[in-house]
Amino acid sequence: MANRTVTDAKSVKGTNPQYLVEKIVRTRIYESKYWKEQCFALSAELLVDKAMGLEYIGGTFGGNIKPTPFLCLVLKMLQIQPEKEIVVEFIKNDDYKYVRALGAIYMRLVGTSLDVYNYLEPLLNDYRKLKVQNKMEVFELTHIDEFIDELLREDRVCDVILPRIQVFII
Amino acid sequence: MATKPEGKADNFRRTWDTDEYEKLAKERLENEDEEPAPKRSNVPIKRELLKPREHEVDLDSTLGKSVVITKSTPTSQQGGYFCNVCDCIVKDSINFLDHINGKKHQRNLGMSMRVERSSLDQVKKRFELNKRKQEEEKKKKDYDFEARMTELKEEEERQREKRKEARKQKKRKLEPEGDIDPEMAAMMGFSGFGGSKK
Repeated sequence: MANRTVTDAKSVKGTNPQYLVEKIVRTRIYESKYWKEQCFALSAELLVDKAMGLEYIGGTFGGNIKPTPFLCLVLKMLQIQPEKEIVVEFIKNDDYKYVRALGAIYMRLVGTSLDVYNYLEPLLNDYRKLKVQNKMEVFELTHIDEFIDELLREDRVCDVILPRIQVFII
Repeated sequence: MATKPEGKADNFRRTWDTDEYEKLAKERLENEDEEPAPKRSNVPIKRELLKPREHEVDLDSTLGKSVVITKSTPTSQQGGYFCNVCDCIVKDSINFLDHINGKKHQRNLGMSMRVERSSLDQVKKRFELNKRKQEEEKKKKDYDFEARMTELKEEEERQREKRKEARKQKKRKLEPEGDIDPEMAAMMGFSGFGGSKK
């Protein structure tokens, strides 16, 4: 089926990677128009196109819990499970901040604690603005470094529960 | 055929004519040896990898239109979304998308549900390609400004001429009304068509 995880996917945190997004949010994504229309049969290569077209980040919004395109693409990445190098390429690209945000949240979801700190902490020097759509469909402003900080500290970002990582203690 | 199974008085179990059945079974075995049943081939059918659609799905082109449907209208025009690959009608847009993304439809297109795995190089190239495309578009936009201004002016000029032309034609149309032969008009019993106010 179109929503199945790729067969050669490695399990992440002991489960199917798609299960990292909660069931309710996941079904909302599956039944959203963006998922059905735009995200069908995407490979990592074509995902780049869609990621470049992103204009804001965010989780779900509206009364009937619609997912943002950003969240749809996160799930798509979990589904097709691109190689780590590709994700790093997403994070390292300098021109497209939303691609970077997408790569960062995916790395946070899937990577080990060490990887997460290795790849995300350098992004704390990136002060560009990000548009965020909140639950009430209102746009807010944040910055990449703020977003990364949220990823490292909070346990829930963009309506996805983040897996635990080891806390860095000096 | 076998004889009818009968029960004996002392034994309520059915008894079977074993000889008869043995003969039947042997016959069947012999027949099978002669012509073995066609075996299903174990070779899996190779299907192409899943490819994304090249065009946008057309969901709202017939939105708000009303059409009369009779018994003789072909299925493709019977309302709802018609899939010409699978020759079926789906009643709403979400279900239509489900159908298009579904296994059956993709199989009819000759594709399996597996997606190609792309490599790092492909992704890198894609990044570059898209970047170049966007830059070119930007350049075009900047470059266009002067050209666009002249274009607009020309367009305005054309519009003005069109209006002039239309006005002239209107006048020409009005004129013949006065050209009716007065004698003829008198004979017919009227002096002009409609336009009493002039």
